[in-house]
Amino acid sequence: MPKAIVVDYEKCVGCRTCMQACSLKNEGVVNPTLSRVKPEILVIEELQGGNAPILCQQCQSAPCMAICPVKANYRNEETGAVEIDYDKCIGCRMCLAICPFGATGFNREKKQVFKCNLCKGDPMCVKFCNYKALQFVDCTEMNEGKRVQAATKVHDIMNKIVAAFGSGLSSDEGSGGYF
Amino acid sequence: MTSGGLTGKILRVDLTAKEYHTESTEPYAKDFIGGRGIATKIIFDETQPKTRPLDPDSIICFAPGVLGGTPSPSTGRLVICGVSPENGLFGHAGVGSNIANEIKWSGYDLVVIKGKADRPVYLYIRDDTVEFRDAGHLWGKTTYDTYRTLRKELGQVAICCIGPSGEKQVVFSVIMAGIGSTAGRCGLGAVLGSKNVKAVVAKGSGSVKVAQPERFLKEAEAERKYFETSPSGTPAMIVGGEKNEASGWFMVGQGVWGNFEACDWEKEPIPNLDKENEFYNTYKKAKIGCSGCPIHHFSYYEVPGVGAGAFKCMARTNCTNVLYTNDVKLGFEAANLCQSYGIDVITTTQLIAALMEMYSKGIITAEDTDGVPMIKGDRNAIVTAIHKIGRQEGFGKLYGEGAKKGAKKLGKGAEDYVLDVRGRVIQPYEYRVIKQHGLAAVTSSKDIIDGMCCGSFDYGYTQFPKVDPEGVKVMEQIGMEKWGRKDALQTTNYEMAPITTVDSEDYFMAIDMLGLCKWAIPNFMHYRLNVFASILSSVTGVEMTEADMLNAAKRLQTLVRAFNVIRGLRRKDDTLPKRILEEPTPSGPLKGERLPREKFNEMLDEYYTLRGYDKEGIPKRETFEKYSLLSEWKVFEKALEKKK
Repeated sequence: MPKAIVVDYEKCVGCRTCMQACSLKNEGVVNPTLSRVKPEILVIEELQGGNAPILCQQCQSAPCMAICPVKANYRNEETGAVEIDYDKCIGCRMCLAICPFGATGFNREKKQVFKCNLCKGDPMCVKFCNYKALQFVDCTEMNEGKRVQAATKVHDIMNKIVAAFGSGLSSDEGSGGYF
Repeated sequence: MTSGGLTGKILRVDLTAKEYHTESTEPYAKDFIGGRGIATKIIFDETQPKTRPLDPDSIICFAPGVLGGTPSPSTGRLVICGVSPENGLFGHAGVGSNIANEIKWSGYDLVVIKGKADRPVYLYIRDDTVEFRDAGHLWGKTTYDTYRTLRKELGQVAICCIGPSGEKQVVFSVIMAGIGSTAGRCGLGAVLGSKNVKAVVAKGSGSVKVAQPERFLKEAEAERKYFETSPSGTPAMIVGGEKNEASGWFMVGQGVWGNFEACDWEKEPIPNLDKENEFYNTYKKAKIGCSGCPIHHFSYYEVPGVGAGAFKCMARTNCTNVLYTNDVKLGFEAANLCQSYGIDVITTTQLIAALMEMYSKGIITAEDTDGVPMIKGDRNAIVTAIHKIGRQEGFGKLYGEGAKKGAKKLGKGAEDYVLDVRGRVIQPYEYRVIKQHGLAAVTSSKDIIDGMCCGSFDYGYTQFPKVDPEGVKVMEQIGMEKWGRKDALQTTNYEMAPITTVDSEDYFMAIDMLGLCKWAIPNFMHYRLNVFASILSSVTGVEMTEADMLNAAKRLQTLVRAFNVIRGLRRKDDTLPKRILEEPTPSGPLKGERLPREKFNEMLDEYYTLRGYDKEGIPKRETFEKYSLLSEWKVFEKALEKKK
């Protein structure tokens, strides 16, 4: 799987633009109930906050693939997405029931299930997220941002320790290091 | 009829009969486009001259725009229109959250409400169904509690509601959407209160069509990206964002202190960045904004022991600058209280400021305010006053029918201290410095916010090039592009004020027809209406240009003016408070700057000419004809005849 949609939960403001862009791209109309990505806006007692976009994780051992009685789901080898073959799909909705994320949907009018197919490799939700809560990144680089953040924090803390305790912790040969 | 954008249906609700039905949007679409445009036409057609704003017959419209329900940049705004109980003239107020989108996804271009329910209700719009649900358990609740209760009961629905003040029909009551966006001006909360409507709730599962999805997605994506790199004009954003709005205004030479009084700009207690940043870092919980917006420029705060809610824009500047304080936490408390009761922050704080000025000058004593001395910036004075006004108790009762009316009842010359235009308290812009603002505060039926030339406000940077030297160049460039003059937006310029006012008003009308944001678009998009004309065309499938949209806007401006003239508006009502026209700017880098009456009158004359009104501010027959308002002219002529 070359690329995946990565969610930064702290950046999501719950504007729901992703739902509008997704449904327009995939269904030709703006209708959030037909969106493949669904940010759930959690209302916690006193606070409206905590927004969590829920999307299909394109699982490697996809429960929706395992449960399908007619093997209508298949892997798109190019994008890595799990897609539905509508010639085989019988609309039993077991994939809706089994998905641990609740990421699949049902279109009342077409009487069909639907799920995210990464817009064939160019996801619209990502393009319309101005907050960078949704990003489309290489799987091998998915956590790079977090590692850089963590490394920066560690570096800052160690520099403070060195400053407090003097040069006893640093090597005689090198500079700029505590190794 | 369009093949996208508009749903084609207007929802008509009759509260008296507990009945609802839909009608076609088609008859209105071509000439009045959508949103505030169609709402204005309906209110013009269907309001009897003798109907008072709080009568059952009065109409209130909830108007999403044509682009509502689509991911255009900065759409998702709702304009609520009606007749203002402050002065009997056309009023409107904008609000955000996600209510506009849910109304569109329920299938409606507009919701038009008439009549009066026989007991407190809330309207629950869910696709084809509208329920008149019992609101007995909500009546008396604050806006925030109403919102939370309904979210618990109904789930992920969009809500707008009134507070206890709206229930009591205080004429400057508001309608709050979500947990912080407020339709504040014109007292439309009182209109809902008079109809026994506590809240309007919507949740739709339908679709909004887009005629040319590929084109739309491409253009909308590009414009949304433009926001990320656009050189913004407001001092607030340049200085540090919405958290620094209060001090930002002082930094660009346009702060107003208290009841437009003097203060030493170099010293405390004017707002300062440190206090604002400290408040932000300590209490900010989350960024919030309107559905579909690319900037979400305000925040939700939680202050233990005080409350939780949004705190931005006029609420922020009015609850600090106008209340003679830089205590941001106190400002938050004041704003939160006003919001809870559902009263207009601008009116409430400016009224309190007037009382504080009068107290400091010995014109009133603590006896006039139930024993509470109205000391400038004093927490007890501020909090008590808001409670009393919100609850309509004690001395607060005096002001329920209006700040000015209350001042007249108070006597002792108090009415000279309440600064209003046609019964509506003015916003704290320094009109004596920004000449265009002085004109726009009067010419719009709502208030300055409906015609302010944001560029003129932002041009204040010329006074403070150290704040944003690049911003000055942007404003000069816009001035050249739009009006052929580098100094078109220059703050103290009289000459360009009339045309920039006309253009700004038309621009905002166009924005309200589309359902866009009047903050984001002027400040981030810098008047690029041609961009939105193209996006609109891709949505509706009907090619429209910027000129088409502005022509429709001018048609609507004529109609609003005609409506108000029928209800008695004349030139003598188009004026500013004595303080603004007779006294100089009391302090700051532009201390001494005046807006003399003769200069104001010259600007107004020019404005009337540009609009096609006569010397009394009455639209001429040829103006009606120019904008194809032929049947409306007949109604207008007849109504004026009747009055003679």
